[in-house]
Amino acid sequence: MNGSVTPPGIDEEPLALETTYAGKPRRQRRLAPLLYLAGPVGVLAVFFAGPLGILAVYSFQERSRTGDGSWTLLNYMAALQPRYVETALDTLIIAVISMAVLLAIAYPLAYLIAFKVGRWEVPLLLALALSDELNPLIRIYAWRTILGRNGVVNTILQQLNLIDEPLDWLIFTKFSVVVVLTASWLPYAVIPLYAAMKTIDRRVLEAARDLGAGWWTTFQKVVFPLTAAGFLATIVIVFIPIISDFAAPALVGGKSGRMLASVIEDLFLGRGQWGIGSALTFVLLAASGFVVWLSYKITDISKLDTSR
Amino acid sequence: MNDAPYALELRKVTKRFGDIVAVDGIDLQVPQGEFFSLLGPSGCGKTTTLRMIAGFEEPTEGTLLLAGKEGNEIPPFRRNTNLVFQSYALFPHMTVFENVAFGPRRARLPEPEVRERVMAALETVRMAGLAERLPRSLSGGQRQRVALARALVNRPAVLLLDEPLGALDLKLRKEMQLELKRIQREVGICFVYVTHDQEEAMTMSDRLAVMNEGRIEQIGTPEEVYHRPATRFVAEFIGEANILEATVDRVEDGSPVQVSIEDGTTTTVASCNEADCEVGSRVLVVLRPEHLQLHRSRPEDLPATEGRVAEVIFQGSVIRFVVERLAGGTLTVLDTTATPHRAAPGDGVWVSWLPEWAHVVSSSDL
Repeated sequence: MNGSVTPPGIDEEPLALETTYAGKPRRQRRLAPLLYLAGPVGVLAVFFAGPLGILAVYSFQERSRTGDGSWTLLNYMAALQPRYVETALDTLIIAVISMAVLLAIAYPLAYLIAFKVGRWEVPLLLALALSDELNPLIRIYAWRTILGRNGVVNTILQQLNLIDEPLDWLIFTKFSVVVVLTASWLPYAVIPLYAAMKTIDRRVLEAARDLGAGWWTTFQKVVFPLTAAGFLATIVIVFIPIISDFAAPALVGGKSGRMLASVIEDLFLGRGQWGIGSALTFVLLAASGFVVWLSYKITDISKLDTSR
Repeated sequence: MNDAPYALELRKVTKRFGDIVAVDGIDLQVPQGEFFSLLGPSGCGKTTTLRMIAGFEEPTEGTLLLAGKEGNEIPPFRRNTNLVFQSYALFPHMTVFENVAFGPRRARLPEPEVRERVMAALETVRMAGLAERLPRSLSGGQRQRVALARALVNRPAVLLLDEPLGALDLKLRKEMQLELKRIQREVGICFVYVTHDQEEAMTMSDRLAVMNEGRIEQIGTPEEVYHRPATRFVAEFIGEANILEATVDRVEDGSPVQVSIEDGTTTTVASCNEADCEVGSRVLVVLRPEHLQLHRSRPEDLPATEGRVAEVIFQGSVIRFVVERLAGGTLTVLDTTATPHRAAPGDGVWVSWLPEWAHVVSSSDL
């Protein structure tokens, strides 16, 4: 191969584009950006929209083991059965509580890392990133040994004579699912919040204090408004994976801690009911879509732009 | 001074960060209504001093008094001081009005009064027309004015300013210097102004403190500090100084009145900061460039030293001559361009000075 043969679309570096761009015919100029977009759009189409389309078709077909593939709305009717509706509600409750606990921990933590810990700033960020490197399954099993009936927490509490019997609500309940989800997604919440905090000039916080604001007022009037965009981003980034998590409910959820995604997984892989599974998938997708829409709606995005 | 307490008083205040001594046992008193400057090179401890007064740092040792009351541990939000930050530190998400209203609202003033006060403060800094703008749409000078209004509106007992003009261009800075002085006279409160720019400090201050390496070298009016510097550091930091080494010839009341410089010239000296010196001890004579004069031949009635013109620099209103002394070292002479000049580089000249401006400092410090 000699050097002049290069695949189309990547032969020009962005810098070179600036100079040669203007010289090209108008039509070509208008098409160039589309060509650059073709790669990512293609990946999304093949690996995201494609499977979703297939699922959409399945959700409207008779597709259980005995099904014949004819068009139907039965899957969506089945998805409205009380047991799925209950699971959906449980899913929402668990996701909202996890999200709230997560933000309650992540927000102050991000603030501390950004402004208060001094030279521990980078080590703490690294520790957070590292904690996410652990295999999710191993992490969940670790939680089982901590929260289990004969686990670390129960053993310690019993040895301190604080309880007589092991606490049985520590595991295989909504509680354990919330604990595991919160712990798993903490880095994903802290890091965007930290990034948002870091853009605040420390002097601005001092100015608030100088002008008579205690810490709560400073938080309310200055820190929160200036990090609202990051706060919103965090909700969007973390809520969707939380509401669609299937490993945590499957491994530590037991009966009361079921979530929609683990039910969907079971419908596909356990029971072979792809039709209902697909229908529930779209219910879950609609729910997360609603949350994203709602977060954008309640927060005026244009006001959140704190860049100069 | 009357019996009213100082607006601000520091007694033996020291601040250490680990092993580093940022401020080393400084004393100062600022009366009500004074424009006081802390002047010094970067790292001299002036900003740390200001931050202690504002309450962002606590003194390691010593006492800070605000209106006569001990205030070491009062947090910033409970002090009757306000700080204008070097970077302005305006709240980027609030309008000009909201920025200025932040303080009065924290003080829980009724909203009509807040509005009235904010507009009055914006009026004072001539920014009333831009009340609804966001800080990011303002120029540097405008932000500076807003920052000033935001601090002034609280009517603090002491207003602290941390190099507030540092980010402005020269012309705007000069305008703002006069503007700040006008505002200070109008509101009549005590300003403590931190700067490394000696000209700025001289222009605005009633009194100033020259700081170096955590210590105060001298406190005085601009005239005192310029004409009678306490140390060589002050002499060289404030304005330009020619320094000549000399030996004391005659002493009256513990002060030298006549000295001889190394090349044998004797001169009387008008003022001295070297107390308790004896005949024969080594001192430094400080001569300001504008007090020196060039002569073709040795002047009869003035002390003078011989040299050769090295450079002639035209600077508009003044001409600067750099003269190499035959005895070693250089002297800088400033003369107005109104004087007819004949000296050119290479010319042999005599440089004379008026003894009534000659000032002596100790040679012990650097």
